[in-house]
Amino acid sequence: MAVEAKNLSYSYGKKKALENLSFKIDDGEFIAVLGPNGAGKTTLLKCLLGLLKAEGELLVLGFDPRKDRRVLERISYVPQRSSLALDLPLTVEKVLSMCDTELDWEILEQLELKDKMKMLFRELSGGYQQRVLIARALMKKPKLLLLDEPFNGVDLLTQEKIVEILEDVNATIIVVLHNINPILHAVDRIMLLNRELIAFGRSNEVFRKENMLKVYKIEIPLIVCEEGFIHPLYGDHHG
Amino acid sequence: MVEIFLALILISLLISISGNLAVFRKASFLIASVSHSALAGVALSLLLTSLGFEQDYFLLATLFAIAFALLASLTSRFSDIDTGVAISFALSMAIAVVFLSLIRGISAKIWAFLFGEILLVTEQDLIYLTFSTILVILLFGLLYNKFIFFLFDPEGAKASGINPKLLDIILFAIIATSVVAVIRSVGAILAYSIFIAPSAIAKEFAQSVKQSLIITFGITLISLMLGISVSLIFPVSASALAALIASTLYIVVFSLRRLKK
Repeated sequence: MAVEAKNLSYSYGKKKALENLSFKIDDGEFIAVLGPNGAGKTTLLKCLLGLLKAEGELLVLGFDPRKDRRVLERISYVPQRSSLALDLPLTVEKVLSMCDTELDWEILEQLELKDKMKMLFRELSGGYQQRVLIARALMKKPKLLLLDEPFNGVDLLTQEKIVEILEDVNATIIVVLHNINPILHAVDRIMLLNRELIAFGRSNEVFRKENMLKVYKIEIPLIVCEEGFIHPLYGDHHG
Repeated sequence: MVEIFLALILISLLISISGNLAVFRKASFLIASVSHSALAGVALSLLLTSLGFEQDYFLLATLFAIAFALLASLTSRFSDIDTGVAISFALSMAIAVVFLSLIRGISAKIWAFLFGEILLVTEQDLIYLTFSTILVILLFGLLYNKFIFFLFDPEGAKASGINPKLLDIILFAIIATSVVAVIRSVGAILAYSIFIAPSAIAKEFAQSVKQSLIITFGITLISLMLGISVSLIFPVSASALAALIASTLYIVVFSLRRLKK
């Protein structure tokens, strides 16, 4: 079992961010976490890392991350790009070597980064910056990969490339997103979150009118694609 | 003359490391805050000395500077770095003014710490500078990779097991130590421009952090040497001239860059 949580709760002062979350994630599963701003998605990732001390029972890769920091050796975390100090004069090579891992040229080849090593990270496009962060995370050979909004400011082609790469990763993956559509066919299960766990399962089980209303407080049309997956149609609201 | 040149090298090294750390940490104003905290320590040492309790300025200035730098670091955890530094700045300045107002008849000494004088560096100052430079280089060298990781990607650094609070405290302590070491030479008021302007220029043009350190070192050393050279011809403070050169260079460089765009 990669993650096991029972009655997991976290509050920022008096403001509840997560309330009584109970769920299990198997080894090797690919999970997408969806919800509006302030739903607790990033908070959940930080609780799994042990950076925020949540209440309740929590086991990540067999460790309680709140007590045992060894679990961090087995986890890679890709933060939101907005949290980076992009003005620092750092080469791609320097960013990649920050985690004290050896450069893996196969991963760099796959992410088309080999010829970008001497370039400044701040001069790359958003898509390539994201590739660098993912490459850095993958070089650690993690058992659990956590990604926080990896598609923000990333064009469609790069989104596809990132999904392709993630599909080949031999690890449990939890990705926090706003738009599930680029990754829907690749994920095993979807977690709908709005402080509480609204639904957790396959797309056809999770994307239901009542669940979407609970999460987003507005009606979001749902359509079925050729492969039979239900997709939320964001941006086409019906009040 | 050899002593002065050695002092300039050591000052430039300290400013190169601490100026870059402050700029990368987006805590440039911390330099002003720390230099005025150091001034409070200096004022206390002068007050004690005037009362018959002979005190060297360095220890008290270092204690005050580190204490207020840590206060800024702690306060910034509850709000943001600007607020943390501002609170620490206001408090340290108030204490400095209280001590200064109690001192009678030693305004020339206070003046020296407020505006500095590179040409009057004593053997004792050189010892403090050497000791501080070795300490700062050691700490910075040992923690270089961790500092860069933490400054670039604080969330990722935390997730990799780096203790951000401890690292931030060490970073602030390095800046405080550097400021105290150079306060006699560049002065509490002028420290801000001479620490920040070269690093801000370097950050824009450097292709790596190491290059940024080297460029900062170069700009600082040249500004100080030009300041001294001009002060030998005209009766003007060398540190004030150095600060003027560094700040003017910053304005010229960024104006030209803007015009080019």
